[in-house]
Amino acid sequence: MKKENISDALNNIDFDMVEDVYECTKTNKRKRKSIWLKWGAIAACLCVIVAVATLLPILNSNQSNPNDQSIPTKPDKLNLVGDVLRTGDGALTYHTDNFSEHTLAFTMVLENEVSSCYIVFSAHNILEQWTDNNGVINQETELFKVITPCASFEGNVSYTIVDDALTIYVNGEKATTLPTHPGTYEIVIDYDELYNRYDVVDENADIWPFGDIVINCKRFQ
Amino acid sequence: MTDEKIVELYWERSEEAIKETDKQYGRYFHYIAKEILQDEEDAKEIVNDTYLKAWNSIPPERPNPLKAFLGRITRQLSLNRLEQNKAQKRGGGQYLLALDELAECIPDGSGSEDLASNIDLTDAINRFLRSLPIEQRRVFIKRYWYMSSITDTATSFGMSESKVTSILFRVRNKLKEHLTKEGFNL
Repeated sequence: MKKENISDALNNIDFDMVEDVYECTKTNKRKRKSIWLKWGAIAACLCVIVAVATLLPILNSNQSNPNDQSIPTKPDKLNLVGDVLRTGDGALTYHTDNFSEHTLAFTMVLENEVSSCYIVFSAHNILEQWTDNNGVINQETELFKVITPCASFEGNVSYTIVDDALTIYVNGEKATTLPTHPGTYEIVIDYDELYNRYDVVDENADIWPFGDIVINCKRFQ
Repeated sequence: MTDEKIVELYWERSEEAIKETDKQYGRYFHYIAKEILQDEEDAKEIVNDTYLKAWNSIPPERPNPLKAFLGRITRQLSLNRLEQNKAQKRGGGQYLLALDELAECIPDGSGSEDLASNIDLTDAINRFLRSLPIEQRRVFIKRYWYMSSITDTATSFGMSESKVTSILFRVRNKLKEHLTKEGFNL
């Protein structure tokens, strides 16, 4: 069989599939955006945003440096107020309003000095979903994780740092990291760009992230 | 105007048939030809050639849908023009590249090359394409039916070129497997 045969055979494939590509490419940009917006609306019900205040055990004397005055003597607390359902340690939130606008807004109350504070966006992608000829619904899923830059991250290597995937605003000012000093901060996380950067994280992924945004703090060790 | 009425105009040998065809589908045929030929003038000529071919083949044909019938003709005429250009050393790069990539899908050895075999092959490819996730199918058709470059394909679907390349690689492998299973072979 010559390669021209397969090209000729392709010429006669069902034309609805050919037309579909034309229609799709004509309106692709608008469509993809609307898919995202649609997802945003659906996600309002489905997506769970988990805000986790890492509760590390009180350091024992073997682990701590008695000369370091910055070591907290009580568990860290990260309180989130705003687009959250519940706050405190292990805070869990269902985002309802702003998700379709691609931002999260909340007040962060940090009681103790921490060594770093960072955001992990963890998404289960439904890469593809389709119905085959036998009427069976198939899907491929993958997991990817994005982490924002932070001072000292010792996390899982499967995380991918994508510098501009999530934009952080602290008290209205663009910031590269979340604050680490005690205080009350108005935080906005703009994750719109994540949509455009997912191929950096996983070039084969299509973005249907049923995901969580986790905000973690690490104490001084 | 409906396809049926346009075809009727061809049968009546009315030149309105060409005008109506152009009005309804001219832009699409131009898209097909331009994607393949990457040349505005060539694309315009091919669209005109398509109408001439339509004029000469209807009657006796009574195509339905007309768009598919003429769309395929536009593609084939565009590919023929590419062959000519290639002989004259004028372009043809994407077509040749795409054909070389498609060669990977052909199982080793040689099967029959007759018309019946090609119809079977089309059916097999149809089944294969319908079993694919929609995104992969679209990328494949954009590359191998419209003969678009990797760059254009990536732009059209808002993907990175590496993602398109990766999808095509995976789909070609799947197609080869599929064709082997269906006995195109070996």
